[in-house]
Amino acid sequence: MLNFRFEKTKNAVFISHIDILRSLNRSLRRTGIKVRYSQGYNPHMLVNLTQPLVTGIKSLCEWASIDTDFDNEKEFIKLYNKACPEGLSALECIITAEKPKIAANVTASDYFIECEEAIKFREDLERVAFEDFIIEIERKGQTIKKDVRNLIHQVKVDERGIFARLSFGNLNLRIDKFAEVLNKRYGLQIRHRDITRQTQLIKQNNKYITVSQYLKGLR
Amino acid sequence: MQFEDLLIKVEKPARYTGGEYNTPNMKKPHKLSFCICFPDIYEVAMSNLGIAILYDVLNKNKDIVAERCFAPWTDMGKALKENNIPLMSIETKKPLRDFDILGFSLQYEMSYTNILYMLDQANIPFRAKDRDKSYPLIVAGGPCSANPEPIADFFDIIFIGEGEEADEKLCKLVIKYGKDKQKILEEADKIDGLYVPSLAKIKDGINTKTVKKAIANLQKTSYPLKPLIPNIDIVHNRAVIELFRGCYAGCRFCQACFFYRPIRYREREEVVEYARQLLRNTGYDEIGLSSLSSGDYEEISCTISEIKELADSANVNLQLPSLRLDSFSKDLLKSARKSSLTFAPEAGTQRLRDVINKNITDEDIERTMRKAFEAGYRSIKLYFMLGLPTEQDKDILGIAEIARKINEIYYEINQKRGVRITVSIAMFIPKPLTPFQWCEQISIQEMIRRQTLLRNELKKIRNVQYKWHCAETSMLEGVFARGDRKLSLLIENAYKEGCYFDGWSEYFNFDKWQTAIKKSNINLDDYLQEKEIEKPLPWDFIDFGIKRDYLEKEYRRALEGKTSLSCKNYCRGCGANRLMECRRHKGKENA
Ligand code: SF4
Ligand code: SF4
Repeated sequence: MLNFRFEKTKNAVFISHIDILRSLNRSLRRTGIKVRYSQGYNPHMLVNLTQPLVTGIKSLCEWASIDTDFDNEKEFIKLYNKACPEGLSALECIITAEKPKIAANVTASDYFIECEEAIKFREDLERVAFEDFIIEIERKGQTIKKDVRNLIHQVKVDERGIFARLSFGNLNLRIDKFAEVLNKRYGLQIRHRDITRQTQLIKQNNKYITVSQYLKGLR
Repeated sequence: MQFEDLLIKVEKPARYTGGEYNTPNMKKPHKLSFCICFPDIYEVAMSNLGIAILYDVLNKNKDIVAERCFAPWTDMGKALKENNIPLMSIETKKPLRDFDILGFSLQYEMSYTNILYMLDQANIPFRAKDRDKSYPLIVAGGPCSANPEPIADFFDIIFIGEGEEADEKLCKLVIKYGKDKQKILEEADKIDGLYVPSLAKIKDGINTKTVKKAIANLQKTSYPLKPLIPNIDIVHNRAVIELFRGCYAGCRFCQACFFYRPIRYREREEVVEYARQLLRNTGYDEIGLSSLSSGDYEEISCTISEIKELADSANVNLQLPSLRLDSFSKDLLKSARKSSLTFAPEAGTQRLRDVINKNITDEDIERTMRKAFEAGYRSIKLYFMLGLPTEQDKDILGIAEIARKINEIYYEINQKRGVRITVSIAMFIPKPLTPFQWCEQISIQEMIRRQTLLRNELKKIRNVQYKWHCAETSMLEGVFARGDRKLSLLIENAYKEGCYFDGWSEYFNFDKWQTAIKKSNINLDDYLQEKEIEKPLPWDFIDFGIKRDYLEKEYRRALEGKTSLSCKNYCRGCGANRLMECRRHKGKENA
């Protein structure tokens, strides 16, 4: 299995998950690398992506796994980056012996929010996980209020902005919803484009490790 | 709010961001900036091969940088206005006003109001006479240049015919004369394919100064082998190869057939090489052939097999041209991915098909369907027109008869599973530059009567679904197709009433159009009724190569129910070879 981490930056932040998948397929085909296809009536390339990210938000840690015999990690990055559109470059490649379960194992994600104003509210912000944190969700035309403080694992603030570790995966706190509450509460002006997802995390033996560390363990 | 902030608020922001793979270098030093404008949304614009060709040709020119701008969907249009942001190019986000040339694509009449919508969004006056030399030169081209009169007042220059070479000639003039608009117009007026509406000689409302159409030499112009690859799904998301330009068939209602004459051909070796390169450069999972009637390509079977081999080894699906199924081997058909098969008999009876010169017989239909069903196809799309010259109710009922017959054939071959037959019905619209350019277009009431007659019949047949073109839009399309200069006022008034995206049924508003028609004091019947052959037509000033008396002769043959052979077998001397050599003419003229 060949796994690679790619960015979603520049214009690519506006591409939806399904279109990212389609685009990835094309990039892979342009590399000339032989990827296995599914059998059956409408064969498709065997590619797995991690869970979708909110449109408009940058990321440095999207992961894709492809079924191929190609076994040169460095060469892959070179070939791939020549063949992919801007904002979707591969940053890291790890070949594993078996098929990893990235999407199923990821439970949290780290984000950085560029926001110089935040330092003014440092104390409050770093405590948000310990108080009510109500987000509003639209469901079937109704607005539901939900306390999500248990989905906020850590918040740190410095002069550059806010660092947040939030649940991601089956239990999920959308970063844009999180920012929305901060904007309302503290009068901040966080926009989608100020946010970058930095890592996806997997819990192993009660400790968070990055997807990259997890994959290296499967090499 | 800034443009970047609007992006997360609108549907499909990738329509506006650019960043597609194969984007040429936009930062190269250049002498001229050109913006290709398409009056419809991204998904439609990016599916247009003409746009891809032009973008490629212009950007390969060392002096030119060409960008794109497409009609923003209504949500983005409103957001831009509210935030006072002028319409910008996709690539470098440059306001349209700051380009040297804006080139609009004229694909269908119902997009005319969208041209004004885009100019409005860009804060540019609609009429050429209201724009001083501080504005870009605003030009247009595309299939609707067969009769540019209804929109002539909006443009400085209109390309007549094919743009590939003429566009570059104009760019040269603009580089040479800079902002001296008057000089540019005077010089452009001397070049074949360039029509300068402000220098026309109008007599009784009709231009009398001849303009020759421009034709591309396929061997000499380059083909986009590294096209932009959209980041979102578009209408035709696949690699395409143009096999030839023009069409051999000569169906008498078909403007494209006469517009793109004479027939120019790409040799097989070149076609296969293009396929090889496109597969490598695009990464698409589908490749298709594009020409008016790909099945008529002279070496279709072997070309298809060669491309099929390339496509298979790259896990790419090859779309087969429908019409010539019988020329493909059983194996090839069996291994093709079966989406649906399209077939366009256009009329329901042999008599009417003879009138329109659609050389498809009932046996052809039956044989093709049998072969398709045997190969495993289970979805058939049929295209027909209502309102054709000499049409009677029998002909309309004949359409249902064909659907019924196809159903029967299907069940003879496959009793286990159902079939899906989709019948799409367009309204006949007499178009300039066709033998039917003089014909009457039936009224909205009559369109609806004929639609109802057919619908009631189709309802009785199982597995049949049907689709209609809206009668009101068809009527307006007909008005603009054969319109004159007076209609620019109607387009302007309609836009002011709030008409735009008229090609999108959810936005088409006939009440607003009717208000605009009243305000413009225009009698639509003038445009819809039968025209006297002796009288001049608004587009007669264009020399398309095709001789008027050839069209007249074809019209007469139509009314007599006589067919004309395809150019593949017989040259009827249409005259198009006067402008450029015709692949099939070659001294074989028999007429
Ligand atoms: S086959 Fe007939 S309808 Fe089709 S492009 Fe040719 S002339 Fe037109
Ligand atoms: S010159 Fe002859 S063969 Fe060529 S398009 Fe005209 S009629 Fe057909």
